[in-house]
Amino acid sequence: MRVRNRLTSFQHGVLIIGALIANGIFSLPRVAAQDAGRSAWVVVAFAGLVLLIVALLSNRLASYFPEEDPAGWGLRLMGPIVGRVWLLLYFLKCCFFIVLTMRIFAAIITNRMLMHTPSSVLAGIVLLLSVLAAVIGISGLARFAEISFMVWLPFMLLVVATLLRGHLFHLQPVIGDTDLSALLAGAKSAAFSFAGFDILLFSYPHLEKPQNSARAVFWAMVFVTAIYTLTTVAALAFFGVEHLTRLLVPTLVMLSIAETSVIERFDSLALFMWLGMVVVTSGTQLYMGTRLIQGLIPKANFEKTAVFLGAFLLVSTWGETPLRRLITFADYFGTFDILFVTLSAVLLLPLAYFVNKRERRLGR
Amino acid sequence: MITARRLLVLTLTICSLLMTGCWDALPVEKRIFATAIGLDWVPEQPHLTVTVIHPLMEEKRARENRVLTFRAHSFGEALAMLHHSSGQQLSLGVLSVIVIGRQAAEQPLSSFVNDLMAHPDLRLGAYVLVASGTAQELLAVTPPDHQRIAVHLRDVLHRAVRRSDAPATTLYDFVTHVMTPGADAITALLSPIGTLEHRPPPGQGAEGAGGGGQQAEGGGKNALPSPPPEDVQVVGAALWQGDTMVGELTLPMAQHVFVAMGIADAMLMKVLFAPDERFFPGGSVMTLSIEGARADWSLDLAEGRPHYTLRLDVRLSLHNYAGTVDLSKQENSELFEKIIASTFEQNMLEALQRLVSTGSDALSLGQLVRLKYPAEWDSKGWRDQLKTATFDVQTKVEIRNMGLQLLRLEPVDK
Amino acid sequence: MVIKVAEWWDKIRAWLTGGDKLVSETSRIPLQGYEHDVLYLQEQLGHAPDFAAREFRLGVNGSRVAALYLRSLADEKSIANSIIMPLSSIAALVDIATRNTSVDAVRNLLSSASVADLSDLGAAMERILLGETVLLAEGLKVALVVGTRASIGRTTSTPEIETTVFGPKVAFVESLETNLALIRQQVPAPTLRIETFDLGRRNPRRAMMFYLTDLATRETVAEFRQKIKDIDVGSLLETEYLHTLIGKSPWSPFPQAIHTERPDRVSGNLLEGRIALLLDGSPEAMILPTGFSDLFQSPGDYYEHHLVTTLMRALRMVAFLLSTTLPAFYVAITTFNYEVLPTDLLFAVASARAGIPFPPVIETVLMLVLVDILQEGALRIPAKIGQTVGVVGGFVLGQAVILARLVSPLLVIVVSVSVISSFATPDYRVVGLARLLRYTLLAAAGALSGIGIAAVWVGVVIHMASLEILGVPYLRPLAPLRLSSLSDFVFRKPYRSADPRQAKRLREES
Repeated sequence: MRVRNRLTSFQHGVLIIGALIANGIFSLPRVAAQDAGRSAWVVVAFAGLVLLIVALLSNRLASYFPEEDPAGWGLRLMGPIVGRVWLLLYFLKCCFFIVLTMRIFAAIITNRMLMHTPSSVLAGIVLLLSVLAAVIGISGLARFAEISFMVWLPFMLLVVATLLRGHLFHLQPVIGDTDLSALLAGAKSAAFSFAGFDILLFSYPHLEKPQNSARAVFWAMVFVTAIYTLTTVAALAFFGVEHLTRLLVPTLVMLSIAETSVIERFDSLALFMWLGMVVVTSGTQLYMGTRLIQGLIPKANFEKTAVFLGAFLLVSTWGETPLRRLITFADYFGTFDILFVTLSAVLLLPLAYFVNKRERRLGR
Repeated sequence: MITARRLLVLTLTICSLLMTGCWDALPVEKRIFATAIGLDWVPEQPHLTVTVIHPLMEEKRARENRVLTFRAHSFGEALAMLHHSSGQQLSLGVLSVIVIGRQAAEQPLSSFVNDLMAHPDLRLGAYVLVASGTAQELLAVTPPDHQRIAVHLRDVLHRAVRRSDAPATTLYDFVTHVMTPGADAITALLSPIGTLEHRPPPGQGAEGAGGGGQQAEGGGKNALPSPPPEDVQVVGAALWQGDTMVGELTLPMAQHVFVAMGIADAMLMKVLFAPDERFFPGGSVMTLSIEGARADWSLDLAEGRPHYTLRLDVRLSLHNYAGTVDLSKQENSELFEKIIASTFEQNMLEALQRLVSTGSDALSLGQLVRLKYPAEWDSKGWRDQLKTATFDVQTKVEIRNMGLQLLRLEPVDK
Repeated sequence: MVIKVAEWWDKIRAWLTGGDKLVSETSRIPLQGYEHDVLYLQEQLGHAPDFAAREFRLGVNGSRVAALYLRSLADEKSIANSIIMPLSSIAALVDIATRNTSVDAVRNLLSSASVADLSDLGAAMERILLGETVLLAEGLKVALVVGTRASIGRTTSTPEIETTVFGPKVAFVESLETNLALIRQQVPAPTLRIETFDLGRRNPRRAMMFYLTDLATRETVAEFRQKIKDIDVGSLLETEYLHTLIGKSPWSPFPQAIHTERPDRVSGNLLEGRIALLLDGSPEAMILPTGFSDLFQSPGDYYEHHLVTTLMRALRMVAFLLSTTLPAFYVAITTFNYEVLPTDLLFAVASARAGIPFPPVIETVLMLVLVDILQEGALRIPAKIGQTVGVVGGFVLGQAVILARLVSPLLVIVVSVSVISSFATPDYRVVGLARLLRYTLLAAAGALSGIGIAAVWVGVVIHMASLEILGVPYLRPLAPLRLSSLSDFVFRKPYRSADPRQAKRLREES
């Protein structure tokens, strides 16, 4: 069922965008505004730019191993013990990411649309679709991400367009309302929305033109940062910080207010279209998790492992957890995810440089 | 691969079985759609009266409204009573208007708003209006052309917004203003009125003309029953301070406030001019068409008292100047513009004073203080501070169209 | 252990299907002499009433020659003129007398354009069954096969399914030779390559693969050739059979090849670097590689103004969406997500549904099933009563069900629009696909509203993303997105800037 693996630069970029944008954007403006107040959009932009640098560092790390992803070079770089520990931590991180993504989306749907439907059913459907997306391989996943991106983009533009109905005074002063520690706390809270760009480590070996990878990563991160920042600006201008901090999912509320003569509410339609992006996010994480298992157990068959992983995670769909609690947990998890990826990039990059230099000297 | 495929098929089967629950399925004809909600406060008994208008779905009576009224301590309780009595699920997804009766508006409405916002499919784009009497009375009006009352109210408001006679305050606007210190809400004030349109008496009406209105009872045996109100009109604006209504403005004053907000486009304003030797020897009421207005605010804070300067650039047209002065001459038109500007400034000052005297910050003047003097900004004490505000209005008027100029007509000798 | 079980199963299966041995035996029977060979063929085919074995001599008293053929398939006049007369004439005798009897000598005497050698009787039998004549002669170590197939069936035809307002009105027929001629007419290029295969073990059918050597990629051609060679079935009656054998995923309901009855469409696709396959006995050609967007392109697109074509293509895609999703959308709106509709429309919908005894999903399924039954019946109804039944069906579905308040009038409109929209796509196979998707989406909408619809579409897109036909992604040119390929996606560029680059784009994508 796996397709031939060749990715264009655009697919590489869209895969990163799809891995980043899912549920986080619904609550991002509130989460950032709770700490940073009216400077929420500044901290989101700042977080994006910092993580852009981390993403470029990760890309550089990947470029030292053009034929392998972390499942391949993890052990080679860090040795059998540390490498395995690292792979295992990475795998667990991916599992948590998948569980959070599907549970949060399911909780949003049950909160706003299907009140009596068990969220485990919805989470199960997201998981099933993610397994299907992961099983078709990185090329298939990238194609699916392209289509999802094209379908999702008009709704995102609709969110940003609500900026026109906002009040400028809600955004002022830009900086000065809060202190530095609050700004940093806001940036930390926004981390979950930026988690997921490490898919680039796994997609790099499949690129048609690896030399264009850095540019694709750059533009993908810039795009996501721009979308997040504009969404936060629109939410702030629309609601004001006092109202914004009381809304659980302000982005969806903005969509529910957008009206035309043919469609009176866009939040329901937006949620339908958003499913694709959510599946891309959890699908990429499932793909990464499967590859990491293959790194730990080299003989594992990809398709079977992906299906078994999905079946294993099915257990986690059970039970109802309030959305607020899930979002809070996601914020903590996001911090851990970003720290993990950042530290990995920062610490492994010089190691990879030296290993690569040594191997080249030895003529490998 | 075979094993993986079987596992996938098994998972698909389980999911398919799980999906057959249809837990939230409820056909549209089995719901109650609330198109309008009215809120009244009964001071004699501490109760809220919640009126829910919903259209009947049977084919022949499709245009009728059904009015459900509940007395409860809270909106949430009223909804529970509705659910209990009808056995049907209330849907607020097509809510068009929320009408708040005068007396209810003067009570704190936070709990009502909270209960409303907790409803999962609430339409946040519903308009918030205040009724000059009770909401029940307003919702009992039988609109022309047998429209649904909620749709009619919405249309009336839309027309008023286009004329800049009323603000388009939706529920989310209202809630934002309630929660933002230094920026209060201003909503349209509506009143039921009679109509010149001929209507058949009640009981002889066309099918589907009935509304759930209450018949007013006249006093005495021989007294003629007074006809039910048959239309609604925007009569002014309601001023809010947080979640409580603190005052109202007449329509002319409200129009001046809208000009000060910079939202006056295509507004028709009737202005009374004091007698002027040259232009209005006996005084005049002129209709001005405000085509656009730019309002620039600036602020100075002296000893805790805010002083606001409002610079207005107004473009307008005249419609019914009846005088003998030839306005096509530049010196005449410039002088005329100054006279209009002066009258405008006086009226504007009056409106602004009236506004701040109520304690309502509908112009978001507090935000200017917060931005320019953050150290002096006191969100809690702002309401009192606002009442001490003074204003200076500087208006520049440009008349684009002088309108019809009527000369005195002398009888022609035949 | 799994491998051992599989090996044993193969052996058991081979033992059970003893017919394979027979085929392999007959296919390897060498020629053993004139009398033995003639006798053998007579034994194998002599039971057939149309089998003929015409014996004569080279010249007057020369070597014996037997011409074996099937009267129903071979052109006897051609046999007489190109085989019997030249070989049995005095001139032949003179010619042969001065030389030894040899294959070349006999071949030179034959006046047919198609003469080939064969050295085994199994192949000889197959050629007789294809309508050719096998010549066995004393002293000759090979059998000669002469092309004498008679033209049976239609000579040419007009398109029945893929009709266009402008453009050629010629369609393929059942004869492979005629079809070959039609393609040759459209593509008189020296770079046109035709490869011939015989497909089917029991009933071999000739197939021809067409491609342009300067436009089609070598790897694609090699892969296609290998797929054809890997086909191992008893018989193939139609190109549709090949669809599941060559396609990427036999379980996928998505058409993985274009099937066309038009030679102009084949030629257009060949010029884009694609490969066409024709099967003897089938009036349809199969074109690969294809993508999902190709199913919305009609041959008539290239005979109209490019802006008109662009509009039509966009409409077709919208029609496909409507045909699959509209009934499901109706169910989702009336059962779950009523808030999406404008208020007045919502009340109209609710009023229309007042008094209907069934929930929206049951109501919709009922109507769709009725319409599908009517559609199926219309395919087989005799023409004489078709009109009457059509009127009754229309009345029943259009009016009676509404009057009986079994369904709402709005639903009749929804179902009608949905069914008619499915026929707006040029490729008839999309109609079946739309039906399948329609019911799936309906079930999903009935259970989980718009999220169910979205989930099914996500699953469908994932499946399409996994499909690759001969190395070319099925979702091209959207995924992977290639801006240069978008010039013939929905928007069609004016003709002067098209074609030569199309093949280049296809090469880039594969």
